[in-house]
Order: sequence, then structure tokens, then C-alpha cells
Amino acid sequence: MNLGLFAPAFLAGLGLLALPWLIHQIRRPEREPLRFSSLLFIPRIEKQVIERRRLQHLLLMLLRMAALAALTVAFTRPYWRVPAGSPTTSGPGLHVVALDVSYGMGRARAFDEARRKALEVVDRLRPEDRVGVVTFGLSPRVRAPLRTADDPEAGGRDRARTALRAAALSEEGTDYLAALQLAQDLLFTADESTPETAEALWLHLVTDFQAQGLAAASSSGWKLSPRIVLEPIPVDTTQGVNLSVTDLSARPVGNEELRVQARIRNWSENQDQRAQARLILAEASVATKSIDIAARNSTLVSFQLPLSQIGEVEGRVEIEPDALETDNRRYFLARPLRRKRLILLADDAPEERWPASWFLAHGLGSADSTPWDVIRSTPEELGTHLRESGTLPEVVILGGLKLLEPTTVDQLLGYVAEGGALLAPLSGGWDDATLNQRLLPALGLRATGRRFPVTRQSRFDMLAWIDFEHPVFAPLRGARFNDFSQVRFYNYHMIQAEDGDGPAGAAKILARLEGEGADEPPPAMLEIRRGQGRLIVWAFGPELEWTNLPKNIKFIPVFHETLLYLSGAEAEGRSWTVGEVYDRLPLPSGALGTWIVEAPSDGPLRLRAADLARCRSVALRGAGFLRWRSTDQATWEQIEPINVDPREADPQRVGLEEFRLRLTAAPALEARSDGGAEAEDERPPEGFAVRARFGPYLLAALLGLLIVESWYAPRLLR
Amino acid sequence: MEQSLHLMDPSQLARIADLELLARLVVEGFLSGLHRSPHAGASVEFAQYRPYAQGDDLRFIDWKLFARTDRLHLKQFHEETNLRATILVDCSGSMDYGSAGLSKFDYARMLAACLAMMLNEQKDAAGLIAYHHELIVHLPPRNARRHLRRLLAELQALQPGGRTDTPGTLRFLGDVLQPRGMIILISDLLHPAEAMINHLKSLRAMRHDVIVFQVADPAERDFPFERTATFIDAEEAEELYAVPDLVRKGYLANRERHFGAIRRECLLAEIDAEEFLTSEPLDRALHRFIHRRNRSLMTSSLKRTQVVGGGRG
Repeated sequence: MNLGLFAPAFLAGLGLLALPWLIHQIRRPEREPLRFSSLLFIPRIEKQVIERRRLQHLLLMLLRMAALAALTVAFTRPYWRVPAGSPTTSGPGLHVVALDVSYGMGRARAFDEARRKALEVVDRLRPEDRVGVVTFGLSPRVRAPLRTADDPEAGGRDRARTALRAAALSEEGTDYLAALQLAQDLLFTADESTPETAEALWLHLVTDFQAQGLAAASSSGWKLSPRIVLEPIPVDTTQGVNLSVTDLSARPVGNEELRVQARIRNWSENQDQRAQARLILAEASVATKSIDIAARNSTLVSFQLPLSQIGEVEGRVEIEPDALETDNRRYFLARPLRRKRLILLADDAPEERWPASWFLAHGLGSADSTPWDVIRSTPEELGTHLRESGTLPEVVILGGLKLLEPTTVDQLLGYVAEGGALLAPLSGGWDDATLNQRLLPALGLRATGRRFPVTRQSRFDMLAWIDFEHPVFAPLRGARFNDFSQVRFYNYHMIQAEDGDGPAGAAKILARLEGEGADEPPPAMLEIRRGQGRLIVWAFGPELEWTNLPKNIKFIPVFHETLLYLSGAEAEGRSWTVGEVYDRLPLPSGALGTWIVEAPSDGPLRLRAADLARCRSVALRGAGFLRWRSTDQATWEQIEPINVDPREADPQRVGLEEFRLRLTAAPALEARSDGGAEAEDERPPEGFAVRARFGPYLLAALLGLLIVESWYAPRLLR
Repeated sequence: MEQSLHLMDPSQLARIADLELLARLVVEGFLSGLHRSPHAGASVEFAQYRPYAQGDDLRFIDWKLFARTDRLHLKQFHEETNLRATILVDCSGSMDYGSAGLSKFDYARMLAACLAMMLNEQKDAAGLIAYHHELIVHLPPRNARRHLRRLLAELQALQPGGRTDTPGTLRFLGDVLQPRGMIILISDLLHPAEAMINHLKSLRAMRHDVIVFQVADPAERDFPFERTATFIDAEEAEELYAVPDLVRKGYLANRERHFGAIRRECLLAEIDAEEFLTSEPLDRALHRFIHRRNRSLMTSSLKRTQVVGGGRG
């Protein structure tokens, strides 16, 4: 008997079936006499009609009994079970065992347990079944292709066992979407069955069901095919105390010090922890700090070093070993301060009361406290300053120009095309004709007038939307910093894409203004790439008649972050994550000879310059540093820090039902976990696995019966 | 007006236990709004002259006219309107049916009481015959206050039950009644019509003024039942399994055929027939009937004027 019940006690409810019988007996027409004055006019009904009527009443009674039976049996939660060793009753099956090798599985001895469970799945397969193995973290890989289990030639079972025994933990995070997609592809590619000889397709998923592993799946909408039966095999990875270094920044403070800040998180639900954080530079411990971290909380630990003492040096912050060690360190590259050259292009008179350039010049700060050297230039001097010292200045700021001459615009656009960066606040003194003459058309934009015909301080727009994911605004993302409600714009230029393709064409919009009445909120700040360089355009000038931004507390952070972004500081300070693909291998143009690329966990790779045309990226498989240089060079051309994804340490797990809901459209077996997520009373007997549940079908049948009854009964009882 | 109508609601009237009070309430309210009765006054009233013919009663010759014109004329007078009305009340089991609380029998009893009260008020004689398959009460028509009280008491004491035998009762009535009276039959007429019609025609032939009040329940008229049930006949204890949806059309057709035939035959025999629904206020139903009857009297006044004197016949 393959039918089982999780709650057989509810079978007692079948006694309710007597209710419809009783009601029909009590209320049958024969038992419902109706005294009437005379039967003189009532026509006699034919006997056949009466018999048919009685049959219909009987059918109604059976319908009601069936509805009650469906309800009762649904409460017993029936399921179809199969012997654990042979999940299907007929025909060979295709089985893919997907083993989670993300570093989160490294807690305690969870990975050993996961491997054991995966091997058990392989062991219980029938000889004619075909089996393959996939391991997955962020990027899944096929470790053993699908082969018949006990075919001496194919040796599928042995291959699978070998692959599982050889599987090792990675340092990647988790992405279930990619893993399930690969497994499905593997199954569908190997499935040669016809509809008549359909083979069962099985996916045995051995994982800790980490909630963050569904992040990619949330937005994709992809679902596992209903043809594939998913058997979730959970592994408990929430045991033990775990601390993580989740975030790290190494930035100069002024021109003399480097500040290294690391955030240490205590993932424990209820245990406060003490941690020793060590700063290690060039494999030498240079500082140690002891910190207390409350349960489910994080603490910043900060180290400050004199910049003069360090050149470009590899460093890391690490804490003592705990239940999960992979997330206990975070790498960074300490770089010597490289001062940037900025040109402030202005011709307004400094003696004017608060001209536009005054705010920009003062916003730049002093050379002592900022990593840039500012050159104030007039349009006439621009050409000279651009070619000064043989290298391009990092950023040109277009601020405080009375007139925007076409020649100046041409010079600036040429500078950007060569790889320069331009910050272009559109001054209030420039009319549409000036803007649309050269500058904006070259960027694929055009000005369509001012927001208000007359600028008044009593009428203004505010920022309606800000892209806090963009590096310019990312530092201001937190609740303490993201309030821009006091920034007012008394007027600004309305900017549109020149070809009418959206408000800004190919430009990336960083912020939008309210612009009530417009089709779309007009852009306030846009980023445009042109040639090798990029521009950020502000739709407003920094004049106080147009905006109070220069006087607002947000001005300096926004201005500085914009300059840091344009000057490339963001790219220099970037940290890569394990599982990402490093795509910046296009080495200096015209590179010759042989190059060495050294990636963590992969060892040094020797690439000839000719190979670089084909191999422009490296998959990052471990935390540490990626380095590359020419064999001719003594020092590394580029060093990139690589860190693990700290979210993988998050102990939040997703329930099996939610997992199914979000990633599968397939019938799924109940988890055969030892410490699993299913309730005790929902486990099948030992040696059996659940093939399918009937509760939902019974409830659907009940619904259908009730609909038929509600339609049929009123007609019949008339 | 609203108050009056409310009081005349049959279900409200049925709560009044004293039938005399009930009848007075209805009749006084009813008569106050009515014109002078065509039967009022018992004085001998001149109608017309008619030339003398052989065989006419010499007592009615107008000798003064003979002296002036030298021609013999008879004086003709309206007959005295001392009416002798007999009210027949059907007390069979079928009359005990009421879908909304008030049974047809209750309604018929109230109607009979009102009619008796009206006749008495007009100094006419009212009698009562209550029957089902046999005669229950027989009070010959008399015009006396004491007689009216007795009539009302008999009505009050009546209980419905048993089968109907209207033809037998009409035959009995034909045997015992003096000619040229008024016969008011109050019944639901739920029995084969042919024999009853024949007896009504016989009574009409005896120059009785015959009026048929058919009392019906709204449920009988509309057959509003929805649930399948076993219908039980109120008189015969017969049972019939019926699906209302299936039989409604046939029922309504049969009923219309039955009462259509009665109405048609009554019309031919100059018998006034009127249907009273138990949901209809009594005074309104009576008013409707009186108006209709007056109108028919006006259109055939000559025919209906009973002339006394030598021209009788």
C-alpha cells in the first residue's frame, strides 16, 4: 500500500458522511407534507419523472457526502510514498545531486554531513538510474556528468561518488538560481525519453537553504520545470558562534594618515562576543584591538597609520578563528596618496558677492585636507593647463563661466574623449541657445527651457529621487545622511534626450527633480560616458539665485564624492568578491611579451600578450590578492584585493515551502532531513519517501464539489 | 382613510372575536361612504301607466284617468323592497386553508356577517345556511335584530371540516325557499362545477337573485411553492407528490379553466359572480362588488325593475 496518512486520526471525521444521509432522509419530499386546499387543479406527475427526481436527490446526497469525504481526507494529509531506495515505481530515473560548496557550509562539520547525505542519495539509486553531480556556490559546476549508475562502462555511481568525495568547500557565496538552472539543463540535455517512456527527472539538493542564496532568484522569475522532482536535503549550518569581518574601507584622512575601518559582525542570536581584531600589513601584524560585540550587532574597529610609512602594500584585518573561519578576514590594498590635479574653469570675478566659482573653490577645500591640487583657469588658459606636465588633469570643473564659448566646449569635449572627467554644472546665466549650440548636443541632450519663467525664492522644487546605489551617493545612503529635503532648487534647466528617447537618452540619471506637471521628473544630475572619459552634468548652476545647495550641509559631501568618483578613486579602491569575474585584464595597449597573472587559489598563470586578446577575464575563486605584471617588470602592474561575500555568513535560512514557492514549479518531496524543517508528524515511515501530497488536490476537489452543489441543489430542491 | 383601511385589513379584523362588532365596524364604515341603497324604503311608489288588457286586476285601474281620457289604464308601482336574502356559507375542509394566517373560512364568515348586518340595516331579511357535505345551520330569512344576533352567533360557532356538497345544498335551498329572494353563495367553489351551475340556474329560473362570492387564497391563485413536497388535500386526505416548478403551469391553466367556466355560465344565467382574495380588505372588496352590481343594474334597470300590478309576468 503506497498511500499514507500524516494524520489518520482525522479519518474519524468520515462519520460526518451520515449527516447528508440524515438530512436527506428527514427532508425528503415524501416526508415534507404540505396541506393544500384542493388537489383538483394539480396535474399528476409521471412516475418516471418522480423516479428521476428521486435519483437526482440521491445524486445530490452523494455529492454532499463526497464533499465531506474530501474535506475529511484532506485533513488527514494523505501522501503517496515510495520506498526510499527507489523513488519511482517504473522506469529508470535521471538524478542530479547538487551539493552546496559555498563557504557557509563550512560551519562546524556541516560540509562533511552534506557530503555524507549526498553519497547516501547516490548509494540508494537503482542500477539502471543515471546520476550526475553538480557543486555550486555562486557559480555552479558539473563535477560528474550523467551516467548510468551500475553500467561497468559508464560507471555513473562510481564517478558520482568520486566527485562528491573530491568536492571541497569554496569561498563563494550561494546562488540557487544558477545551480538549479544548470541542473535543469543537465537533466534536459541527458533526457532522451519520449512521452511514452518518460523518465523521472530528479534533483537532489543538498544545502543549508541560506536565505541570501535566493537574492538573484527574487528578481528573475525563473522556476524549475515541473517535470523535475526536487528533493530538498537540508543541512544544519547554524551551529556555533560566528563573527565576520563584513566591511572594510582604507581611505586617506587628510594627506598624512590612512584610516582602515572594519566592521565586525556578531551573527549570534543571543550571545555577546569579544573579538581581537588585528591589522596585518605585508604579513606583519601592526595593530590589535579588542572589541565587544552584542548579539546580532556589529561594531566598527578603526586603525590609523601614517601614510608616509607605507607605499602600496597588501593588508588585511582579521579576527580569531571561530565556527566559520572563511569570513574572519578581509583584504585591502593600502596605496600611497596620489594627488589629483583638478582644474576649476571660471572667469567670474572673485570680488563679486558669492559668485558660482566661489562656492566651488571653497567646496574643494585646502590642499592640506584634500587629495587634490586645484588650478583655477580661465577659458583662455585652459589649453595650456590641459597639456601641462604631459598628463591630463583628473577632473575639470566647469564653474563660474559667464560665457560658454564653442571653442571652450570643443576643448573640454576633446579632453573628455581622451579619458578626462568633467563636472559641468549648467550655470543659470546660460540660455538654451548657448547650451544647445555645442555642449548638450554633443552629449545627446538638449535644453528645453527653464523650470520657472521667473526665479523666486518662494517657489522651488526638491530632489524627488536619488540613485543611492551610485558611488556618488552610496556613502550618503544611510538614514542619517539621506535626507535631502532641505535642498531647494528655485530654478533649473529642463534637459531631455535630443532624440526624444526618454528624458536623458543614454545618460545615467543620478538624481531627479520633482518637476510637477512634467511627463517624467526631470533629471537633476546625469552621468554621460564619452570616448574614454565621462562627465557629470548638473541641471543647475551653483548660484544662490538657483539653489541653496551650496549653502546646505549636503553640498560638500556630494561635491567631494562626485570629484572622487570622477577622479577614479572609486575604481582604485574597489574590492572584488569571490565568485565575480575579473574583467580588467586588457593590459596596457601595445603590451608585448609574456604576462604573469596570479590569482588566489589558482596560482600564477603565464599568458602571452597574444593570448590576452582571447583571455580578458579571470574567475575569482578565492579571497586574497589578484596580481598581474609583465615578466619584464620587477613589480606588479596591478594588485586587486578579493574578499568573500560577507552575506554568506548570515545564518538566516529560508523555509522549504518558501524555497519551493520562489524557485520551483515542480512537485517536491518532503525533506528527508534528520534535523529537518518538516514537523515530526509529517515524516513518512522509515524506509519510505514522500512522492506526492494529495491535500491540495482534495481541497481543490472539495471546492469543485461545493460549486457544483451550490448550483445543483437550488434547482433540484425547487 | 389610512386608519380605516388599516382596520379593514382582513388579518386585523380576524383578531376581533365578536363577530357582531366586527360586522358593524365594517358595515358602518362601508355604508357611510355609500349612496342610498336601491332597496331602501318600503313605501308603495308609482312607476308608470300601462293600457288595460283582458285579465288584468281591476283594482289597479286608474278611474280618474278613465274619467279624463275615457281609456282604461292600469297604475303600476315599484314593489316593496323588503328583500329576503339567504346567505350560504361553505364550511368544508378546503375552506380551512390559509397561506398567510387568515383562512378562507374566516374570511367567508366575516363576509357573511357583514352582509347580514348590511341587510339588516336596510330592513331586509337575512337568513343563513352553513353546510359542508351536509347541512350544519339553517336559519330562514327574517328581519329582526334578535334574529341577526342569532345568525351572527351561529356564524361564530361554525367550524370548517368535511367534504363539500354545494349542489346538494342548492337543491335543498330550491326546495325550501320561497321564490324571488336573494341567494348569496360564499364558497371557494373547489368542486366540480357542472352540478353546481345547474342548480344555480334552477334557482335563477325560480327568479331568485343569485350572487356567488368565490373566496380564494393568494397561494391558490399564484401557486408560489418552490420546494418539492407531498401535497395533501384538505378534504379528501389524498396525497400527491408534486414538483412545483413542473406543475405550476398546468395548475394555473386548470384553475383558470375551472373558474372561467363558472364565470361564463354565471354570466349567461345573469348570476353575479365575484372573486374575493383573503388578502383583500373586506370593505374594499364589498365596495368593488356593489359598484359593479350597481353599474350592471343601471344598464339593465328596466329588466331588473320588478313591476307589480296587472303586468306581472
